[in-house]
Amino acid sequence: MNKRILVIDDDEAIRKSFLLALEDTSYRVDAVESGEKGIEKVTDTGYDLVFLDLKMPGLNGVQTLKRLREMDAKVPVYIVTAFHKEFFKDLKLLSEDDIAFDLLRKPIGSDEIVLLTESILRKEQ
Amino acid sequence: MKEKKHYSLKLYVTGLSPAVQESITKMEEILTDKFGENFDLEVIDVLSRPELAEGEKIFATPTIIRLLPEPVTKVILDLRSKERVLIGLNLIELKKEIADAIGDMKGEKKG
Repeated sequence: MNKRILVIDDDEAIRKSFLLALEDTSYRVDAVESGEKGIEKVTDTGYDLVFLDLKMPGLNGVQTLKRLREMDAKVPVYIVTAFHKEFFKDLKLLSEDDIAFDLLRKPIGSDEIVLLTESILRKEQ
Repeated sequence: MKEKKHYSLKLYVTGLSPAVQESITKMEEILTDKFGENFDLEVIDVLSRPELAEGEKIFATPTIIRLLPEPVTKVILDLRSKERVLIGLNLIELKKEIADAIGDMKGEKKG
């Protein structure tokens, strides 16, 4: 069965970049524009990998991740963000609470999206 | 007698939560098992030192850089998988040797 990936980002260009980068792979990719919709998708559908924006209106990335972890403690979640300390204050608190996540640096290219996705998902295929 | 290679490694992680620290400990066990004392592993928390990750052009965590032996190699890891850690270190040729250990890890994941 094809692995499923969820992209949660309020920026349409970012969502499209993930969809385009992964369109020639075997993965099934869904993309939504808010944390709230992301939670709904995870509630309805199991995912194998989640890419999550940090700064979004409504539920931000940190709040969304906390909710996601209440539903699914295992799914790999990559928070997509620039690597600057100003963005990391809340993420440090998540880490101290042992809430699992990893980082994907913005800006991100198609090759990097595919490389990371393959690194995480191909082992189980 | 042939001199043993020294492995010099840098590991970039997100935070030092108990789970991450446990993964690092497991990784050190793998390295000690394979290289004895012939390695050094520097762990860098990207949340505390983002500028170092920028400098090394790290685009995702966790990433390991093998500085020695050359060539310098940079690989994204899945620290939950012993197999992926070893592949990241270009030790895939040892895969058969550690097959049993990998089986143990998969058993842990199911439990």
